[in-house]
Amino acid sequence: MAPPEMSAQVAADPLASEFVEQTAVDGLARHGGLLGWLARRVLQGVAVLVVVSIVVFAITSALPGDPARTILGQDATPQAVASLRHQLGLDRSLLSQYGTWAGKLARGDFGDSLLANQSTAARRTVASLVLPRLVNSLTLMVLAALISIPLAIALGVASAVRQDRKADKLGLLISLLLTAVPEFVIAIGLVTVFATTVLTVLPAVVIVPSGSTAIAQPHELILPVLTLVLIVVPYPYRLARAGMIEALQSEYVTMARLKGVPVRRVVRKHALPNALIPVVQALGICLVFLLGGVVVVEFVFGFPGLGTLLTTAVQGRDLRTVQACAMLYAAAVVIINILADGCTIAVTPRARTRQWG
Amino acid sequence: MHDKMDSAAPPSEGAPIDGFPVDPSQLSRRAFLKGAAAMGSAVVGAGVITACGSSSSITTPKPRRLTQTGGELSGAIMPPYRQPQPGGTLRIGASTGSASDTLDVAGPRSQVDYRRTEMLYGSLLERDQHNRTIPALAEEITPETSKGDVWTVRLRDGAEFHNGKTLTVDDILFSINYHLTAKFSVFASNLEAVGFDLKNGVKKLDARTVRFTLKRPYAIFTEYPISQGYWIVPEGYNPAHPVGIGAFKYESFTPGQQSVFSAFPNYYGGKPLLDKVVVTSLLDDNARVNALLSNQVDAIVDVPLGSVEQIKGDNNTHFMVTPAGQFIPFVMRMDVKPFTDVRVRQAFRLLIDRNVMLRQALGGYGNIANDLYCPVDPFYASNIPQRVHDPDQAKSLLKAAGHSNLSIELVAAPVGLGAMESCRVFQAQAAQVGVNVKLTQLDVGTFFGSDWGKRTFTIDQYGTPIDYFAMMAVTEATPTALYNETHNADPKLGSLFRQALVTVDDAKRKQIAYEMQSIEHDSGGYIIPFFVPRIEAVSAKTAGWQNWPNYRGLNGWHLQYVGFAD
Repeated sequence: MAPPEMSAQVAADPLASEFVEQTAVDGLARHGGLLGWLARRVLQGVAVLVVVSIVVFAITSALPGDPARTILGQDATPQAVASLRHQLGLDRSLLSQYGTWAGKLARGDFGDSLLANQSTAARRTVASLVLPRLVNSLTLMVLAALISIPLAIALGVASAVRQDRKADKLGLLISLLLTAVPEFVIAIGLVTVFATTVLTVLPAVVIVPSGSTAIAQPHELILPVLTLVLIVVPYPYRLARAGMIEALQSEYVTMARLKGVPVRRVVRKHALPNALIPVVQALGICLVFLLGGVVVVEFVFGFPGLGTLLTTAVQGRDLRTVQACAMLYAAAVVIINILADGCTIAVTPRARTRQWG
Repeated sequence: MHDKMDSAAPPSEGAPIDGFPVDPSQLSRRAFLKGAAAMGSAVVGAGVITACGSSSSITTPKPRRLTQTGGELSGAIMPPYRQPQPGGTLRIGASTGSASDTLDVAGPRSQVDYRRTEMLYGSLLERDQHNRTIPALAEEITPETSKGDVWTVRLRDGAEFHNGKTLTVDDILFSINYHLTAKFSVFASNLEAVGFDLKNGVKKLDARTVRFTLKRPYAIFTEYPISQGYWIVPEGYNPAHPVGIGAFKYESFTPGQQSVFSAFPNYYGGKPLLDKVVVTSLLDDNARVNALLSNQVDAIVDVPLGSVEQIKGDNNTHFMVTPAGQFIPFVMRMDVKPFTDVRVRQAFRLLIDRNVMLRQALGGYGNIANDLYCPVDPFYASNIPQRVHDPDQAKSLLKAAGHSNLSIELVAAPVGLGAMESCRVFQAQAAQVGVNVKLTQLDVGTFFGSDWGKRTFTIDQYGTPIDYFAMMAVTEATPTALYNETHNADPKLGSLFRQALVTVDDAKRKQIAYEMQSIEHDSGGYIIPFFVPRIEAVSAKTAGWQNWPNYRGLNGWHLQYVGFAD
């Protein structure tokens, strides 16, 4: 019996098909198995982050205006500005500044917040600013991912089994609409319907009390998470559906049904695992997409997360915080991709065996 | 001779001039602060100096009247007054806030910082509902000489800090020293101008009376900063756990996010009605409005004009407008072409239709202005006729100046409510008289960066200035004044200003002020089309809101008088 094929749809998707499979096959089969693969990917990830760090540093240095001036305000005397510039190392060469910053970053030291330290005696590190926001943003992401991926698969399978019937057509239509409507509009639409205008049953913004985190306000998270779910579900839904349809039409499924295996069992045991493959392969894209969606959601719901911290830091020229947030986002993308590729390998047996190398 | 403060009026808080409805990670415009400083230092050796337009206690044969209020600005829209009941937690949605927020008494930065410090702390004097200076923590402040260099301060008896400690002179001295020496203190330069000599110029007469011998005469001792800013803290004050003497005490604080205050039952002005106040920073306009509509907050500041109809139409919210003297002037650099020619400046002031601009930029809320600031100062030149829209005159002035087809760049940024809209209206109205305006929009950070003060044609933003002379001191009185963005170097203006500084007599100073404003109205570099009000909204469940003319909105942030009612 031929090994399970990838669905034609996924094969057409560059990221999910050839590149991933080829890398997985190459790396794994040739060099030391799973551990070797992981090591290579981590090294690649670090290289990517180094490049990103250079880009981020270049961009923040190129922001118009003098950060010292912006922080101190225009009432500041030239001496105060010069002294702050010296304190921040802004009078050194770019290369030297980058070196100091990158070196600290490698040791896990994000530095001190330029902004937060201009108004109080206590020192506030960037890490202390970023950490609670990171936890909040991760809360949203994890909740949304845990709901949307299984939901998308379930809906996709249900649609595939009812292919071309009304339910399936409705599902496709809705997924098309959700993909077409901008994320911002979905968010505001939900707020208008459930929180402010049509009904007022759900909270419209997320207000996190001092010292607390977002997870302590579960009812306030309903609309933001719902927004993210609506944003993310359509793509894996279509993938799951296509994968399922493909699997249901394959020879071995036909064989099983001819043998008399009940439809339910066929779907669950034989077709489903193979329908999952395209979803897993596209997991990376879905999660990165989710990351972007979180920024929109944070804005609309006033959510105290990394995205809102980043925007206020840019406006206030708090360079260290901007750089830290940007690097965290980049690291998140790298990690997501490694995890997703790892999952891909796990579900694509072919990639694991030496003979395909 | 003593000059007792009139203590009949209810207590109120003073109002330092502060920042904008926009992002506070920019600066708060402390023009007024610098004004007092500039005036103080200009006073050295000049003998008896007077206050600018407001109260002061100079030993003159008849006691100086404390104040007349200046022009009251019209246009307040308040919900119907209901008597609030005790209890409840008021949740406020603020429009500013960032990581640099602080509760440190010496260093408020953003607009919401100022509001919070005003709740937590108290000052020696305050302003009442008619903007008159009244006693607060100080029962009496008396000048001992005619020069105004020796002052006796007697404190209120038995005023209690949040930690139970009773207010004494030691706390005053500690506070002065704290403001002078704290890192990033915003009051340091102004207190320097007062001239306290903490080493040799302090004599404690008893536990609550102290006599200050200043380093130099400072006749406006009872003015800013004593009356409005420079809040008092107890000895041993630690900003990490701020202890104050105001109506509300500190519970918790996350910068850029939320702060919680509880009522201080032993507040010297009487126990607040509310139990708690929670201030949350909701920077996004729509999120803030939505929070009110979905009942997650009870009051919001800075309602965007686009949401006004929605709020008015909602039965559970009340719309509020508090008139204020904030303004967003167009700034013409008088030392650079084409504005070196006074005819061009006059033409620019005539080509705008202020009523149209008010409607389009502020939705019709606010007040028309006459290219002059400080509308609430008693010395405001209300006799100068309101400038009207006169495009024909503008065209002929431009023609006479040889600029019939002028092209000019206007550099702007969203520095406040109505800023960009007024620029676009200006652009359209200028086109009608043959002036082609190219509008360049920057982000606020860049706008206030190193090019500020150097641009030929731009805008700016000011909070409500209270005193005309103080404002002049920092803007146009001298060519090198800190905020002289118009680069005004009119010698007549400068000499009149110097004259005012040494003129005791109120009537004479009023005359000088009128003359100066007349010159500015005629040939100055500012175009001030309107004054921007505070536009806010509150839940229908709240009660007790009134129009406090200190221009801060939300009942002047005297939250001890508001509450909930069924």
